[in-house]
Amino acid sequence: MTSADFSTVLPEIVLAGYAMAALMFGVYTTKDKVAPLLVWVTAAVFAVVALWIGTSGAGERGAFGGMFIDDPFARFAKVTVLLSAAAVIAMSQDYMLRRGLLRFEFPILVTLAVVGMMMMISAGDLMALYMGLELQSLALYVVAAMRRDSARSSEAGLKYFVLGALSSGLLLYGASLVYGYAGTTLFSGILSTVQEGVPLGLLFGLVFMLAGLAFKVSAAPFHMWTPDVYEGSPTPVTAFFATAPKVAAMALIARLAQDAFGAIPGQWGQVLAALAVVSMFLGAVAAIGQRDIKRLMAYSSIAHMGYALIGLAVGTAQGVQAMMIYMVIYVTMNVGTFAFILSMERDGRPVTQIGALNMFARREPLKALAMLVLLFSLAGVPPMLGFFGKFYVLRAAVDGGMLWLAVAGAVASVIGAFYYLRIVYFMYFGTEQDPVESRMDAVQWSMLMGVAVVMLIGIVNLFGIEPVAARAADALVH
Amino acid sequence: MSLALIAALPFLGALLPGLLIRAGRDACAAVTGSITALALLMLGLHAPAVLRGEIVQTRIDWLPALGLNANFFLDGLGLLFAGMILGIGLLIILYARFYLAKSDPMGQFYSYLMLFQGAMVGIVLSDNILLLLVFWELTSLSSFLLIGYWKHLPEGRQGARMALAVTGGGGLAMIAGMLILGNIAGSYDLTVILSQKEAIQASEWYLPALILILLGAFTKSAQFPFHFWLPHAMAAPTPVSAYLHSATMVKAGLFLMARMWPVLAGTPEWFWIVATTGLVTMVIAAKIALFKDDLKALLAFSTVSHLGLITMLLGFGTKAAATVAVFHIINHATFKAALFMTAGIVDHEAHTRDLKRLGGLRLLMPITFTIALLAALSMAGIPPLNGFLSKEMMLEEAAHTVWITPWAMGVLATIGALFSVAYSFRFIAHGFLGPVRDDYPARPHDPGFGLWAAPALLVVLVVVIGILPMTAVSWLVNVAASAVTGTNVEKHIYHWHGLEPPALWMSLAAVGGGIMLVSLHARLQALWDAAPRPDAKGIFDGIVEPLAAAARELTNTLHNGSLTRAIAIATLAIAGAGVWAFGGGAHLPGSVALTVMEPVPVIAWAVLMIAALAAALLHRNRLLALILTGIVGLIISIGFAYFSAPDLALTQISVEVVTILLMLLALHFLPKTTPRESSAPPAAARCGHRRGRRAWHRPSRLADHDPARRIRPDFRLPPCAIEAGSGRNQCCQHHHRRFPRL
Repeated sequence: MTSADFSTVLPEIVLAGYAMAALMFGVYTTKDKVAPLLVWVTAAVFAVVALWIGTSGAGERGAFGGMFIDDPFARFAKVTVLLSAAAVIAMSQDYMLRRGLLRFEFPILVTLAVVGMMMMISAGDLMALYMGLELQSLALYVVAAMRRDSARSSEAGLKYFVLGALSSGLLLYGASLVYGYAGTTLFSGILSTVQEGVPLGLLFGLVFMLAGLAFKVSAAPFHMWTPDVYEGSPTPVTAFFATAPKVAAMALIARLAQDAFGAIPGQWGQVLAALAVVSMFLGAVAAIGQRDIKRLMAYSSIAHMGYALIGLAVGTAQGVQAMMIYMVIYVTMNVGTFAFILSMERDGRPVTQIGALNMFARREPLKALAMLVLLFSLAGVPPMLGFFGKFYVLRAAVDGGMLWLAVAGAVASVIGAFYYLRIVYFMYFGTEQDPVESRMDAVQWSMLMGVAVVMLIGIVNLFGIEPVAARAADALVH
Repeated sequence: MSLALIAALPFLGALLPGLLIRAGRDACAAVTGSITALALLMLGLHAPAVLRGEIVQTRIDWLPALGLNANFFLDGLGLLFAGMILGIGLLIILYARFYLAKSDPMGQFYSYLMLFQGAMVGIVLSDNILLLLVFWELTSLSSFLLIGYWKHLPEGRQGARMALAVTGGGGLAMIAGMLILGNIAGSYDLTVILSQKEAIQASEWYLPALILILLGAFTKSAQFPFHFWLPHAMAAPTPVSAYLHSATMVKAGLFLMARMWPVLAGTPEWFWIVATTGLVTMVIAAKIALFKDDLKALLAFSTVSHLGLITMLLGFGTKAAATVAVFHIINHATFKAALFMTAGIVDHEAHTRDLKRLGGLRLLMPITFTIALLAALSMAGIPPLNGFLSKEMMLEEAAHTVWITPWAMGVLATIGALFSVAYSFRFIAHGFLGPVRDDYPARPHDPGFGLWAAPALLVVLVVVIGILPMTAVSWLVNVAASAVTGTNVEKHIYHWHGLEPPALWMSLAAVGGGIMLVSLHARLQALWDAAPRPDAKGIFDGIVEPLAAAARELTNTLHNGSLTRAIAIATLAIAGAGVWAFGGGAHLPGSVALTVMEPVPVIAWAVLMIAALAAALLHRNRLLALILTGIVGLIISIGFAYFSAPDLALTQISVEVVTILLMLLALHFLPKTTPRESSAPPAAARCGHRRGRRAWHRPSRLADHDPARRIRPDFRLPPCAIEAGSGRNQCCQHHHRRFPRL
């Protein structure tokens, strides 16, 4: 434990310190009255830390004997996590304030979750992995159930907790098996054991760990909590669930698969490919019947995780790069879409029925157009940015020799297009019904419009994230 | 760079109408038109080089890592299509300026139209299949906006949705096909792919790629069984129908087939899928067209039929047939766009498109009638108009093609042509001929010059191409056909082939039969109305709705919100994964060397075991005996572990422990000692709650009244047994449940 170790984890320490300080500040001042202030400060802190990490030089550094890894891959994922978390809490502020949901604990819990995610992303050891994961999960359990007076929110929190605990248990079981057979919890140590041969116990451990992580990214068939939790949680929490934690968990899977089990890509590749296919199809098919847009977004996220998993399943640097680009695009799209969902209301009460969007284009042509762009992008229809994300992973699958996976992905995207386009149809040509209002504050408006514009002009050069993602992927895949 | 600019110009132009609409409708139309004209001019500058047989290329790196480059190229086929898209686009802009009502937002219309135009030009100029895909889906999107332009019409909404669902879905399927193709060819550049015929056709992925790509092409070009969306998209304003659904968008599918012809055509799979689909589409759609009363519906199905014809020709896989296909693409675009525009004029002036409410327009609108007559005669294939030339050549090709039997193709093609004659004549006969009526919704008269100028120009083309094909178009046909087939084509177009070829007789039969059908139309219509026929839209809804319902059902059963179910599914999945890991993992031999067996420990082990066994045998106390047996098991597992079999030892321990525990449990429920005969109360009553006990102690009075209690006290039941067990000889369930706790 040297000062070099601490300087490597300085961003995490700063964030954790900030969370504790903010907690003290909130408790000893006016509590919920400072919440709006805390939200803004937290968003700003996230952005600053993201900037800091993004510009903190190149290279690969380990800390605490390799338990914590700081490399381009980690930095890429962390910046994505931080920026998306900042965007989500900034646009939630107005919604929560108006609904009387804004407790000062919210930004603090989000901060703690983000610290956990950053630990996950940088984990180089099974224990660091578990610690980060639990820090994140515990904070998320609480925010899911934050609306204490609502039975649905409590139910969401409870379900999330029970299933999350089950997944943590599985993960621990797997980790203990891996430790038992590899004799070390360090990823590098596991890798050298695996290179000599794969004992059955190690494979079992791997499978159980992947199953536990599949819970966290809500990949089918471990997705059962997602629709209920998405629907039951307050919308800002749903928006948060749909963005940053997904990135962190995907990064963690990539880290575990490549750093610890990189010598046997065939083994985990099969598991991930199976998860990907089931997720894509289940997400696409199950979303068709949904009438609630938050539930629909839950299934949509399941399908999207399937696509991202294709990139990982391939096991190449190109695949990891494709996954990261996919996740960035996915998170951006979701921020925009949730900015809109947050604004849907009727008589001051939030509305989430898809049917309420009937003929929305007539009342709010600009917002409808922005949503059209976003939904086409989510469906992966060219020329929106979403298509490029999808194309990157499909391309990686083809180049990695998994043509069948690419074809399955394309077929699932045809099914998936159906329900996204249905919303567009409702907005433009639905029947006249009770109108839904869309009340937005400046942040939500600029998020929605900004993301829609990004989806269109991003196709020029993807804002240059491609080489960055390539560097990050190269750092991870040896 | 200039090719990219041609593709980009309409997109830039899409921004202007929205801004300029405040300056007036004329300014708006003029700017839109001049941008299209500018693009056309730039295209024209490249024409001489292309006609010399050169290929103009523009290469811009976009996302090279993805294989996506903004590469454009212009060859004969591209020139033909781009010229058609921009040229007809120009006419449509002119036409729409006068067609749209004052209340229609014109700026929006032109913006959508330019967006669409840019996408179409992009498709035909792309040298990269990914770029092509991008533009391809963009046409779906912009056509969605155009079809739904008149939002107040419910059928417009339906049409827009179906068109988007069908063509959008097909396009997404095509992505997979293109990926496979690019993977086989090793490049996503069309020019590279087109040179790899052998590699592609030899690949085992040829058929999946072919099917996926054709799925995209067939849905776009409304080929059977996807033909149903096109007529429903006709709710769009007529300029849109004329542009999208006759001249350009539906031809995108044909373009793709023509573009891929050098690498995909020529195999039996191609022939059977493409030629059959084309033939079936041609005949079925022509038959339906005859019985449509809506002018636009008639034209829509006739479009589907003609698209089928061209598809069929491409499907033959021969150079001659491909050349005819190219020629017919030009001819169809000219006469069909003109016909759509006339239908629009009729709708505009008479406020109806229903053939049953029309007739006699010949006298009221002579100019429109002349235009319609020439275009319809060309569609019917009457000499010397251009439709005749290409139809004759089509029949010639069909007659020489073997499909199931040597004559089947010829006969069916003739039947298709026959229906085509019939509906063309009907269009004229029921719309323009006959007596003038006095019950039109509005008194029709010829429109202003602006509205009929565009169709008139097209009809002039129809006549000129028909009379002077060699001067007018043969150069374009040759260069385009050369591009399609990849070899030099010098086709001479004749009017008169002599009496020998079968095409003449087939053509005559078609015209004769067609006239007969029209004269018998009223009776046939009654038959048609009486005959049951599949309603394509109904089938589409019938397929989509149950599928959606099934998906909903599946979701509801799977995700009913039950936590138990969630855990059950997760557990099953994990168990499955475990089984997979067990089956797939390497059962490696242990890496630890075998332990050397030394006599002393072995003897000690044996002695220990015999001692334990003997002790177990000698003991009379069941509990002690059981524990000693367990010890024997444990000693055995120690032995296993010692003899280098830790896995066996582990198994032995777990089995042993579980067995002992189960047996202990069983012992627990058994009486501690052997039960003696006694008059003690039965267990149920002894252990029951107070009511049961009281009932036991005061049996006599109740027993007198209740026959169930008139039994030996040992077996008497507590009263709650009679209530809860609802029987007279069952033991109380309540007590049973309680029992193990004691």
